[in-house]
Amino acid sequence: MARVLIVDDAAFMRMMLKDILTKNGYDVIGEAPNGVKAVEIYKAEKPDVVTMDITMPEMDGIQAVKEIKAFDPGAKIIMCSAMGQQAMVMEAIKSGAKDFIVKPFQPERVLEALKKVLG
Amino acid sequence: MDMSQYLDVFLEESSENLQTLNENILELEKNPEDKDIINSIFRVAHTLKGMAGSMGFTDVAELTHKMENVLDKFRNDELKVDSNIITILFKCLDTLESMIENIREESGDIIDITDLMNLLDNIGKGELIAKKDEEKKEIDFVLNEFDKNIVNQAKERNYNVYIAEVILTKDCLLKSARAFLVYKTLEDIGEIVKTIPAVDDLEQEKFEDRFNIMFLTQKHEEEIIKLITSISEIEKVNLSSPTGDEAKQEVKINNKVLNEEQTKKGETKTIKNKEEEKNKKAHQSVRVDLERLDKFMNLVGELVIHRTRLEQISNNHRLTDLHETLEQVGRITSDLQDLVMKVRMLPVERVFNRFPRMIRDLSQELGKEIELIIKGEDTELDRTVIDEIGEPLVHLIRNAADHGIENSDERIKAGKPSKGTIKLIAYQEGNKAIIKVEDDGKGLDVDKIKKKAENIGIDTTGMTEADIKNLIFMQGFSTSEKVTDISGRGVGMDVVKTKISNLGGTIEVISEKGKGTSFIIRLPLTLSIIQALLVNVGGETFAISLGFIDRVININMNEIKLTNNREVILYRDRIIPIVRLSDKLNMTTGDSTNKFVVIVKVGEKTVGLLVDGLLGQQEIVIKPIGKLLQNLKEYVGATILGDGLVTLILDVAALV
Repeated sequence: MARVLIVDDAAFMRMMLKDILTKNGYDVIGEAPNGVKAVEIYKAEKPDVVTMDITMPEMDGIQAVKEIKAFDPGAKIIMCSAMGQQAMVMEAIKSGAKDFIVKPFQPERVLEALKKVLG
Repeated sequence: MDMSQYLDVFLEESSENLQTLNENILELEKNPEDKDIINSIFRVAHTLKGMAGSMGFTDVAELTHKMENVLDKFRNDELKVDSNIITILFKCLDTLESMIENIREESGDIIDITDLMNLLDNIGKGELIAKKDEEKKEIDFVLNEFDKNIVNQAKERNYNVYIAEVILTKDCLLKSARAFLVYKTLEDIGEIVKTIPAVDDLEQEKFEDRFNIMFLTQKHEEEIIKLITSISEIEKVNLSSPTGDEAKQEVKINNKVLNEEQTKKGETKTIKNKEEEKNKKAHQSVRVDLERLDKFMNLVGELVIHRTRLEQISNNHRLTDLHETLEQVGRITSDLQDLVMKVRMLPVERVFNRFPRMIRDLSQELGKEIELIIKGEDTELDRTVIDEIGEPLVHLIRNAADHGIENSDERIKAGKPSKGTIKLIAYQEGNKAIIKVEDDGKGLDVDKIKKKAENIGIDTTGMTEADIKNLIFMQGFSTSEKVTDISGRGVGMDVVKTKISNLGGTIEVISEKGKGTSFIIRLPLTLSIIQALLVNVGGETFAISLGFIDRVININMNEIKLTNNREVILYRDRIIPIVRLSDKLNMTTGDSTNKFVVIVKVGEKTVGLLVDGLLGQQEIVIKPIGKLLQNLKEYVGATILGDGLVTLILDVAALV
């Protein structure tokens, strides 16, 4: 059971992702509403994989990827993006994100990305 | 996937997001250059879009998406913020709000958004719409002399040269980002020579479902294929070596094998990490369904009732032990009451924050300069009051803007600053919350009100100016000559007053001609547990909320005089009209001549309620009297007393 940290500023999105993940045997060890919290929880929990929203208050997803990567170069981060965020996704990939999923989420896609990143 | 379970959260969060958008866009109009505001608007719009999309409300998602395009133009300095665009954005927000409202009410109404979408499109012209072409094309990878040269050199240095044809899944979104991910992955293990289409085209998504990358690496085929297929949304990878006869090797992803590997890995990891679970961070706040809070409140109410019962029993039997314990219980229940009351409290900000936007619209519509000053928005009120107080406030503020504040010309003539000011002030005073709506406009015209009053048959002789001003709260009273869209349909102030009375509050007006008008609303902090005076009328017990009571006096029946066919008493040189509760409630009264008058104040009106006896003061819990007795206007509810008796609570506002 892989341990996942969910990062998104919308509680709604976190809830949805959490449901998808827990139903499929993942262990959601934490949720963060912004980048600052995400980095904090990552350092404390060292999750196997992180799902990271891009646009968030306090610290956005890209900056969070950078900080997490600086702390743990092996960190596995999947970006959650929406249509029209191409450039930001690329920026995140440059910063070390392993994969990305596009909102609105389809559960199969989410699971596929997680499986592949963990594989 | 069943999404209905998320609906509540979705509705709540999207309302919040819309509110934030409203505020931020208003802010943006003031500071058009502020990138932080644009970014924050963008972020919130984006969140909304994501949520709506996931819930399958495509209309909402589409509209927000178009708004985002416009915002993006702001962000990239391609477009200047002007009030036209702001107005369109506000229109979008209003439409979104109605859409969300429709979803909430499950009305199924569909709002036509094509006009708005076109408007937005015209602003954000030149937008690239991702075309979905079903056609697929094989790409021929042709090597020129230069490429061949590289291949040869690489081979000499013991590098493998590959051309990877990557085919994305049909419904892959953000293809260029996906391509970039592949590019980045390959770059990490070697050197990229060439891509077809060119990198620029890849970045601008100028390709169908596949692209080719030629690269040099020391890694082996299997390894490369595994790396690429570990990226999601990739249908297939064909790896070939450019020399020789393009012996393509198709590699299919064997998902099953991969899956099994992962589960094994995952299992070992969990054991290791179990201990760390303890450190899980707790959330700062929880959302609670209002219904549960109501239930909680209700239970605390029950507890108070039974505590009072126990107190009575202990008094009756003079049980000291029980009495001491009950005092403890009493303290705890009071704390509990306080707590549950506080839990239900919300800052009035919730209501106030929609007004800056409203004033902006109003000042545009009316062509007046108006500034809104809000103070004390952190004052807390019961949730029910918060929900209900919005409408009356809207009405008062509209009135202030429409009738109160004059045109700039008029204002300058009167020696006032050209910009009118409306103040919205909230603060707490004892166990009441006060909300004031003040304007520095022309004030109420007493003569006009007087004339109007006489027209509809109210005798104003002997009335003070303040009394006359308060006539505006009467039904069907509007002094505005012309009825505008904004206010003055003649159904205004009395509705405001009724609404506030229903909440157990009062409203009064203070106004000075030429200087301005100020409406003062007093509201109880909580609704369900009140201090009440228990009175006896015709042998029955009734409760009167202490909030209304000014004082209680003991009188003899012959002190009641008759003037103008109304019963009054003279008290401290004031004439106070008397209401015989026994008459109002159709009860027979005792024939003792020694009675009590409970002097109550409802708004500016002072009336004496004639009762047979006083039973004392008590904390009571208001319970609704149920649907069947709903039509009884004389009562606000019922309560259960310490001795188990059900007692009706009088609605003072309706009786006077």
